[in-house]
Amino acid sequence: MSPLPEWKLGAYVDGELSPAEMREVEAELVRSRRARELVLALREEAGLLGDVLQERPRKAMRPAAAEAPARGLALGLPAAVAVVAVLAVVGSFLLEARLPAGIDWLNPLRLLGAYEMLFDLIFLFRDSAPGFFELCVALAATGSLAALAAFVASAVLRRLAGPALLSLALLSIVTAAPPASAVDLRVHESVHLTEGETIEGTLVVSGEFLHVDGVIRGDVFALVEQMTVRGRIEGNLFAVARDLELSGEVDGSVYAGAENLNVDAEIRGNLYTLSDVLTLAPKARVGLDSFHLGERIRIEGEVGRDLIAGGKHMEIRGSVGRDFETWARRAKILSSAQIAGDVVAHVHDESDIEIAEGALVGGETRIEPLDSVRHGRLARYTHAAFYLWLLIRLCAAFALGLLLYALLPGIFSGRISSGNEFFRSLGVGFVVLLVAPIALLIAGLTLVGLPIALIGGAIYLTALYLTGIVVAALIGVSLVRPKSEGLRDFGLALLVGVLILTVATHIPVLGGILRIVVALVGLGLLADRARIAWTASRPEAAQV
Amino acid sequence: LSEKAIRPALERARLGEPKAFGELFAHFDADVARLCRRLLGDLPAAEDAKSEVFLRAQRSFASYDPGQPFRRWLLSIAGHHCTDQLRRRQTEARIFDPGELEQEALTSNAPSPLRQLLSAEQRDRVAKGIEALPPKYRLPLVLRYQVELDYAAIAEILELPRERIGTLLFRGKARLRKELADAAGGER
Repeated sequence: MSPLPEWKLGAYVDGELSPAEMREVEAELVRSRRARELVLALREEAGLLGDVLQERPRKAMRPAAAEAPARGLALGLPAAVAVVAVLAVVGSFLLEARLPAGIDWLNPLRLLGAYEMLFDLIFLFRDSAPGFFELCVALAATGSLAALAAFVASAVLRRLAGPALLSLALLSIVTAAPPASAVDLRVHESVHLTEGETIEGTLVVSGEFLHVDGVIRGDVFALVEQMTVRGRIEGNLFAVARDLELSGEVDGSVYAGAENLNVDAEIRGNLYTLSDVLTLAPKARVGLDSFHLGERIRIEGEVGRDLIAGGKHMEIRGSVGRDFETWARRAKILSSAQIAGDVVAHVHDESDIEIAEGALVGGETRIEPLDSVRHGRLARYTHAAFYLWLLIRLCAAFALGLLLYALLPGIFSGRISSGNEFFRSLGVGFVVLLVAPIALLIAGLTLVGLPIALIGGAIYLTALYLTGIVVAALIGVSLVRPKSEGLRDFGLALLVGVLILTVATHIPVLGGILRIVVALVGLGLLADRARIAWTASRPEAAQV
Repeated sequence: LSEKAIRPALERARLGEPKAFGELFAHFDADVARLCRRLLGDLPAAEDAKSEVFLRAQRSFASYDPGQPFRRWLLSIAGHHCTDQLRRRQTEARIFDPGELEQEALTSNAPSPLRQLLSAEQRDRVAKGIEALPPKYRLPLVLRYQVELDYAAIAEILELPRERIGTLLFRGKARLRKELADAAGGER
């Protein structure tokens, strides 16, 4: 097929093509790296012409050197990878090691002052860069939903999907749309809601303090230095505060981060906390589950269902409706405590948990030794076999990536050049991850659909495996910037990407989160490639 | 100036207040003058054209759709007027000769983007390069990138089929790149 004329690419950049022509250009963009480069150049050129003709100031241009492939990267990356790997192993060892008192400061679990620092950082951010902070909070809260909605809307608008997707969009709107309610936004403002006062709808506060003595008929989002709730919140409470005192009523759940957190309230939902010091006072009652992470946790009140907590010192004097599970350095269950279900303690040593004689435990008590470097999950980092298998998997991913590039280069042509595109891929990936298995399950229930479900399942699992390779290639290409489309240049980029991703996904805790993100983004990119390839192969449909 | 800022003046102009037109025209005086100069090439003619554009705008204000940006509407009138002027000036030599266009290849060999040539100091040179282009390339470029009109609106002003606008823009940009590259080469 002959390359598209440049004027058509120019018209594509100007957004002046018909839908059919646009699909033709998109198909060419999938196929040809030169077309992609040309479109980027034309887009920048159009912006420059607009700037010059409208006499707008323009930001400093990127120097040409920045465009060149980073040659030093090929040497620097292995060194960086090695450093990260060593840090990961040493960090894992330190996490579990019982160090002599003199060098205990090396232990990352030693969180003395960490919570104070964390809250200092949060408030510093809020005060120094309020816009940035609020943007982050807003993005975190709405990012995934917005990405999902944007994808559905754009797909429907472009008429790429039939009635099924339209139905899905409508269903999403119906099920996801929150009930209409007013939002009372108080930024840089302290709020004192006195007794007898009522706020209808959601309250968002970012200020010095929030005191609630009245009633809020909605959710509360607060980022304040001091917060007290002596009144009533009929929705959920999301709060970050230096000092937080809850002694009223919350009908929903509480999600709180605070340096000092004192709960003496009736909470009908769940309670999730991250705090330096947490006290659940004797009169406090949590209707459902209670999750806590902190330095010192004291439970004197009542938890309706499970109590799950991790921290340095843990003390229970009150009652737990079901099970109690802890990862505390030292836990004490005092004689007044009543635990209806099991007690599960993840501790280094049996002596780290103390159950007083009068304490009532309805179920069984299990002590599960924490993983150590020598025993348990983290032990794998100390075995040579682990690294051997890692190397084998890395080589397999690299070889498969090269093979795929030779056979189906279009798979790797997806790019993420902005935050929007990242969130879009994340949203698409999320939809594919959830919707595909449900659709396959429904198809599999019918006799006719069974083969489709089996084939679809195989494709789904393959796509999940390929996500890592696709994202590795994306990372590698954006870092190394291969000079040509040849297998050799791509191979170098892929190797760099695979190395980085392999190391990053094996970092304890973070690696797991990263794997999920990689799977979602990779699925999003693959779905996008599949969509473009499908529409390009159906020119007659594009004409409609 | 943002469209929001001129809204009160637009409201008053709609009620027929002559002073409001004066305010609006003062806001866009530089924009219109720049466009006329770029389209017509010489300063005295551009000054005359500017006055005529404001007169036409006031006369045809009833046709202005408040849902559209006023700046674009005003600059479209300027585009129309200047194109008419050029046509009158060059009745003998046709500005848009289809034959010549069809003969030109429509695929270039290299992207040769302007970004490689353009730095902050070279903006003037680019602006001058655009002004020096023959009208058949200059007009679409200016109407597209200065007034931000879409291809259909440009086609209407230039009385050409819409499909031709893409090729004219392409040829205009290719010519501009070449001239800038030649000028840069000549300096070395």
